[in-house]
Amino acid sequence: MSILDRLFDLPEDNRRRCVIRGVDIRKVYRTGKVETHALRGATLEIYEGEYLSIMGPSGSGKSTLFNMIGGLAKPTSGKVYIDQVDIAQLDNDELAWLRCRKVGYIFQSYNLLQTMSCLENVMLPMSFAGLDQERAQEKGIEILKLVGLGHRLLHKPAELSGGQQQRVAIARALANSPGIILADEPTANLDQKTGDEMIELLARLRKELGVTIISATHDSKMLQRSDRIMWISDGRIEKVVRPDEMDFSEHGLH
Amino acid sequence: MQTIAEQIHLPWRNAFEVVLQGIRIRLGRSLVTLSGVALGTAFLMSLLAAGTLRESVRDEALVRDEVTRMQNFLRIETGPFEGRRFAQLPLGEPNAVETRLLASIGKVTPVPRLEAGGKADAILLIGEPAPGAALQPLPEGALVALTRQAQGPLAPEAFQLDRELTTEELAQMESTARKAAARKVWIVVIALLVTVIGICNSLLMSVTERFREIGTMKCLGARSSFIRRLFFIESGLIGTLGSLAGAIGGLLFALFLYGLTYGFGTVFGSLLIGPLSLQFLITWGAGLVLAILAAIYPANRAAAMVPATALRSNI
Repeated sequence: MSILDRLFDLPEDNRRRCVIRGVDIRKVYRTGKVETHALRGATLEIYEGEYLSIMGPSGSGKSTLFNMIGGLAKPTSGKVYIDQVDIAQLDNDELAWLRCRKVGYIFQSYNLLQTMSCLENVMLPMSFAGLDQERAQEKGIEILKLVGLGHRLLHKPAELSGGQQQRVAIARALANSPGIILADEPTANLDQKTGDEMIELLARLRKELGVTIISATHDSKMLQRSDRIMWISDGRIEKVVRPDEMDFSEHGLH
Repeated sequence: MQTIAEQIHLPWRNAFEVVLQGIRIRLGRSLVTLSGVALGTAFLMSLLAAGTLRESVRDEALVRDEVTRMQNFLRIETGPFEGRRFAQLPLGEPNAVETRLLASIGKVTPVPRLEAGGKADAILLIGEPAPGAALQPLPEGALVALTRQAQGPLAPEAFQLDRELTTEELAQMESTARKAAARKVWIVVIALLVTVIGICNSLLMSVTERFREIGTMKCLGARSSFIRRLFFIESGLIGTLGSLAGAIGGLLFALFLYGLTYGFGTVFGSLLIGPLSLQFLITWGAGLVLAILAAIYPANRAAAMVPATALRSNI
């Protein structure tokens, strides 16, 4: 690590453990003969227990970066380490293992499996991790209670409100006690009040469980609650600021 | 660096549950696909069973063929039966073919016994003649038709209905049968291909429809093999149930058809249970195998999906 320490200007609080490290991440998409450079060399570190927001206009490479640090796609060049593991070295099954245990995903449109009850949705990642049904059920009920849905265990997602569905999705993301929660615009489909509840819930979980939360968002309330805000533009990390350094009147925030 | 273990394989039971829930939700389309499989296999089954049933009513079928042939030969000589005066001249006990022949001509025009000195356009000799027997004088100008080879010496000029087929005729019949068989094989192959394409198409639709669902499962840690398995189970279920229904339906259809033609008593009295069961199993197995073959492409497409699709796809 000493070489990396010298190579990269680490922030002062590098006593904290680094859970995600990206080194000169580049990603090129090829459609026919056209090359699209989605990322042009992004270098970043994300620390344990931190709340990082990523923002940027559409087409800035934000989602690409998001996919890379979530282990959903491999970079064209550069390195991505999730919990010290270089994801480029992993085959598909190992990536599945990593996604299952290390990262919890929250999607903008919840992405709950409509055919399953809330409890089954939460139990699914635990089955993937090899937990037996009984313990998975126990743990699933516990987590759903934690997000305030202890009374909706056997409902189908379609029977729930958007906010409740997103709570189930959060519960599902927490199923295998991952160190990292990756949230893609988690409040975008929710009304103001429900969105605020979701932000509170995420903040509480982070405090209680010590998980690292990374979210792509344009929600100013969410940005204000984060530790750092990463601004992506044209495939590069333009700046990383603290919420108090940021002018919320610009960038068309709401 | 910490070690990354290989993601565990989920037991089939989990995949099975996911598939069952999926089928329950998409029941309508599953049923349509299933009936496609059922129709294709029913077709195969009914053709296979028809062959066996024909074997079991063989004696009856031979008599019918013989009667039809005699009728045709007779018609060539006499023209249409309507308005002709037929008469029969019994020489001995009539056999099954003769009885049927008389009955079938009798439906069109009566065939009375030939009285001494009676008139007739066509006279049918019926039964085995006693050795050394001689014919009574027959009316002038009447056509005499023989239903048995043994009647030949009695009336050398007479018209023989019970003919040995010539080699040419035999060859002709064989070639017709061969062509019919080839046509049947061709139709069965087409029907089964349509079934395979139907399942394949339905599963591909299912893949497109479940883009986000599959991506989400991959994000949650599903192995590619788990996703692949989902599709094989779905298609295996459709194949098992569909071809079972098809095999039953095809068998019943063939039984019904043969029952109508040859009489239910004849058909059910001489059922060849062994060969029919074997054909039933073959049809059932063929349906299942084809269903699984049809799933290969859709399953691989689903398994190859990139998990990141879950984040974007709005389908």
